Amino acid sequence: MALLEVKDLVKSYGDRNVLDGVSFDLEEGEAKVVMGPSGCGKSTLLRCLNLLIEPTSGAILLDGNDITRPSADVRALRSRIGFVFQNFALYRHMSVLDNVTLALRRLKKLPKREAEERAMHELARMDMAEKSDAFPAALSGGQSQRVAIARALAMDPKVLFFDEPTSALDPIMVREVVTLINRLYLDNVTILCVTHDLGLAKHISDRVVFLHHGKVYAEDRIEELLHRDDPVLEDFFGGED
Amino acid sequence: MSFFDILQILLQGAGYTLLITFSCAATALVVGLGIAMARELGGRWASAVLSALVYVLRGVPMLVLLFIVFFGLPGIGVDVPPLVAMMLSLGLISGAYLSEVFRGALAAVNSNEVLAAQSMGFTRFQTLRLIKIPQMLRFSVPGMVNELTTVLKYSPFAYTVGLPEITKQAMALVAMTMRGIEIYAAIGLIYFAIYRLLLGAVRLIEKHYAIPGFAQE
Amino acid sequence: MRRRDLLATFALALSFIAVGGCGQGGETASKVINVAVTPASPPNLFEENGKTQGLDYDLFDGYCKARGCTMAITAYDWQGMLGAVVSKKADVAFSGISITEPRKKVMDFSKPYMDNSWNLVSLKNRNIKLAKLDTLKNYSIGYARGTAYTDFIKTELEPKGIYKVDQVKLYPTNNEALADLQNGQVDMVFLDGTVASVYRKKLPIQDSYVFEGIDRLGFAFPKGSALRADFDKYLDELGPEKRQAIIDKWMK
Repeated sequence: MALLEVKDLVKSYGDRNVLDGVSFDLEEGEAKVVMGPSGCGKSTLLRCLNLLIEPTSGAILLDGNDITRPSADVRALRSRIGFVFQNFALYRHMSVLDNVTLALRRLKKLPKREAEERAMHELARMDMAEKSDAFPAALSGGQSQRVAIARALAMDPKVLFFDEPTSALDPIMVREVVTLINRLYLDNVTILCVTHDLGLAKHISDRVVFLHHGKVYAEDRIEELLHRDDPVLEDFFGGED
Repeated sequence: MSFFDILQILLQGAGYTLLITFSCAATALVVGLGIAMARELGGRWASAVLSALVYVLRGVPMLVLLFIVFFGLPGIGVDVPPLVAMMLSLGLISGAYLSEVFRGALAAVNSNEVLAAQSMGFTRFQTLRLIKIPQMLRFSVPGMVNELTTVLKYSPFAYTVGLPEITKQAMALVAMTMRGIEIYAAIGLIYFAIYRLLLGAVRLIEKHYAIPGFAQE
Repeated sequence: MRRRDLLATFALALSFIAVGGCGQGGETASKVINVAVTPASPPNLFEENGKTQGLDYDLFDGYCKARGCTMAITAYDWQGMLGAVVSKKADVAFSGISITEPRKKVMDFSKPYMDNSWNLVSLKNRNIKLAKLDTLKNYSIGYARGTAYTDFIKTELEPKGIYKVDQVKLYPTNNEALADLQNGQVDMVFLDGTVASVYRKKLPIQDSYVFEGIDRLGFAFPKGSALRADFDKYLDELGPEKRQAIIDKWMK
């Protein structure tokens, strides 16, 4: 049984099907990247998986439990999924340390000292320990994203979702973040990453799920997809190597 | 009676002016926050009712509401002391205005942060309390200062329900000395001084809670 | 840490509400009488050096000393004072209140305790003296809101074509009316004879016309008040000579 199983996921707005029957699996310790042209539905997909958006139909199984059923405990589900946003979404009115400890103290009900210890551990893992007292406004994009990842990791999630983690960063910062996510990948953290950054895809994934018009067009290792003789894929990757 | 004597007599009412201002401002804060939170958490029905309430409160002249509460309610057996009457009129109305300030400020909170909080598994109430309200309050400072000033300027109405604040002292004094200009000038000075005092206090509080680089987006 | 501060602020705010709410509306002990006054009507009721005093005060003080009760005095503006006694927030009100028919509908009055004239005053240097009332309509008249003159003008002067209520300028209190008089914004101000007697000494004003024998002052009580009957009894006990002596003391 895979950690995450997506079966025929459909999300429609009116008569427009943004997701038109998406199916794939994610095993524990696996890292997959979801790619595709704009409008293919990749962001929608991610947000359906933690029910930020309500799917129209289909099943999503986490550890064998169908979370789309009305009886599902959405909040418990969400705390098992770590979510990193494109724009970092750090809480602006709290210090870096407080950002990371907030959920630990309020959701997991950890006492302050223990929460701070775990937070500092994750921040150190992301090389952000010295900035624990800084406020988000004082951080660069790369630093912010690292804190965001630490914040997600602190909750000890079963899987980490990334929604275009490097799209808001300049090339130098992209490299620092890619390095860190790569480190996580090598540590066998389960990862599902939506991106259009090819470099990221190459460094952190086992396979790529290629979406097109709301359906899974192809799923394979990145090298295979790059060299496959297919008009849609060639159109997207543009002869990259 | 020198100008200084006049000031002294007037200042005896200043304590009441401050008490009335603080009490009504505190009521306004509680009411405004309550309405803002209820609108955020409640369903469509609650929102509609509260919107109507705010609409009515913003349209009612404060003096009319004060008289209804203080002189009218005893008719149905509800007797309120004058300060409570002020809080239920000036405080309520100011609270309605504040709730609108808060509504605008809540909209300014970054929706990504709200999404992030929800993604972590926080309830709507937790998101409201931990993320939205702290930011909302900081955004609302100019609006809150405005309301505080307004409350101060409406505090003289307390005299109509028998609270001996500064204006009452002034009227009694003018009746005896007929030195209207001096006395009203003195009141103006005192209100201005109170206003500056309140402003200074607000600045101090603001400084204490300031987040470096908070408002930059 | 910040959340604690937010809670503390909330608690502080709520405590203001609590403090504001309590400590104000305590029950009156059987011997404390809630009195409503407007300390802007010398010599009936005014405030000097922080002390409430005046003709009306002396009369009621005598009553309280005789009956062994104490007064809890609250100052209101004129209409607030009348409202207080109508809504039973005050047990009695006095500040030179005229007994009028409209007022009798909503409050009970004691026996009249003194006669009052209504004086139209004007600036001395304008030399306005009306022998008869027919020229009154050429002048502007002002007075304080909520006073008995409006009813008088409506029922007595308007039918005779002497003056109309809409010609009148209304002011928050006597003070403002007199200020406008001195500025030349209004020709004449209606004042109670008692009040006029005090202000004549302080301002350069004189009587232009005096309406005598139509007004009497009374102590105002809520409708159905038992206190009124007892106060009337006291006035009888006091007797007309002693009462007049008090009046003369203040009206000289």
